[in-house]
Amino acid sequence: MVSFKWLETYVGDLDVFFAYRTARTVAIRDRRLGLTLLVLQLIIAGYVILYQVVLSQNYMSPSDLVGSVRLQMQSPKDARFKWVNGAAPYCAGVTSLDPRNGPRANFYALEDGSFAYTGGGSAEGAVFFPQRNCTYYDETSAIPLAETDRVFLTSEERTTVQTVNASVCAAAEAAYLSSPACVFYPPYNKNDAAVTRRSFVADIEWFTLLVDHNMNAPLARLSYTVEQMAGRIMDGSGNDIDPCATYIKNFGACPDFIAVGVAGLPDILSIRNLMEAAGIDTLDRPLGAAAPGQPESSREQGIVLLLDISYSNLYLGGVRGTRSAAGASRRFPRSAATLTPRRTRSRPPPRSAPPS
Amino acid sequence: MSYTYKVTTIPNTEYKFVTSASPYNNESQRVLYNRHGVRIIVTTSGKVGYFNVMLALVNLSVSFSLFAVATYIMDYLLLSCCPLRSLYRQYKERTTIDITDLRKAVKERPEAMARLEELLNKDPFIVDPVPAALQRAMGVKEKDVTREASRVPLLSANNTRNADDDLYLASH
Repeated sequence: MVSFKWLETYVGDLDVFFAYRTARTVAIRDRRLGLTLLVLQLIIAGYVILYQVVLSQNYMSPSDLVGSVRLQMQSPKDARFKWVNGAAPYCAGVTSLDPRNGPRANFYALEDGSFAYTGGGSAEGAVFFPQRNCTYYDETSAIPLAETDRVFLTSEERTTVQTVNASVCAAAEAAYLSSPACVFYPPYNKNDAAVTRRSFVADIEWFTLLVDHNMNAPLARLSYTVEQMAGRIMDGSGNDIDPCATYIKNFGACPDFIAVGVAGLPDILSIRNLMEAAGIDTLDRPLGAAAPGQPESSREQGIVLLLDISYSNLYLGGVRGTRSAAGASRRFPRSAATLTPRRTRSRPPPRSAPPS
Repeated sequence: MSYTYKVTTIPNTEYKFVTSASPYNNESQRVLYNRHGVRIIVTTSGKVGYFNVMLALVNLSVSFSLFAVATYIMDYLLLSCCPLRSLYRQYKERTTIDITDLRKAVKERPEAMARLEELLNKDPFIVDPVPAALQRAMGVKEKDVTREASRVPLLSANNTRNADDDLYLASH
């Protein structure tokens, strides 16, 4: 064995120099104290494990993400999923003194060319709006400007035909607007039917919106497209919205392409779904406080909807896949082999026109 | 990875888009389109996390250091609130003699201080005496070593080794 006797001349007793120093504890033989300490430690352990690890996932470092969106609008092509024969209550010529049963009974049309949305209540106290001519635009005509991550869908169009005032502007100047006196006439006036033709675009609530989005988180090295993620749409209370529910409520059936969170497909939902998520049940309500004598509805003035797509890979910040009537719920990751086939539905009988 | 659609609206807001169109080669006429409608603005947001070893270790270390809080709380209850706190204090705390008094007592007597230091340096078990049982065990071993050693004259009177010394060393 190696001798360290020579080292003792410098450091003294080697047993003392290399002594193992350890803490000394006191064991107090009292079960109450021991159990109290155990309870405290269990509470702390529970906080650490349940809250820090499981709930908060504090072992995950946050990363910024970048999302890109492509929107594509389409007008309703299937006659089953819009007002029958263009008989929307806001269209001129539609009259009904008797509210019908079912969801459409919320509208009350009068012979004088006005109508009201009663919201399921009586016509008393409802605000009546004028009916207008309806135009049956497709998506190309209803959307005046092509954009990528935002879209504007026309609900009311006010058209004014103007010419340069020939009484103050010579023909040569009128052709090129080369004189300050050459102004277009008549001036726009929304309340003068002789000047401005106002028309509603029919069935805009049943226009469908395709939302094709994807995200990228550089720090986390994560990148997903919409087909690879599970998703859902929520209302203001945090409840899931089934995009097919409103179709079934109004038409008794749901288009096959309506789905949110279906594997392998982008999301397609209607403007009505977006309104429902925003807490708007109809566009035929006064915009803000109703002006006495001249109420303006949201259909006449327009609204702004902010659609926020929130991504998360934390299981409590994440979401379940939405099960729509036309599709299956989606879980991530999911291969094509596990796709659930869509349920088919028989066509409902054609609906008759409202009684006059 | 998952996503959620949330739709909100700004109350009492309206939106319109005004365009015009003129017939071909006729700048003196135009159709003014004043469109009101639904404006949909899409934004993306969210929280994405990735596993970070350092962050995990730091958070877990900080969290588990909370266990010391439990011990601190118990010690406080033990020494301040429990009925037998005086007894607990005697077991938990080690109180020395009054060093100040001792210092005062030996201050005026240098020989007493020297004697005290010599005593403390020589015997490390003055404060904690070795239990009698261990003393007896250690004493027997030392006696054995002493007895054996006394039978081995490694050096003769004239400081030279002899045959008995070699025989002893060879057998050990």
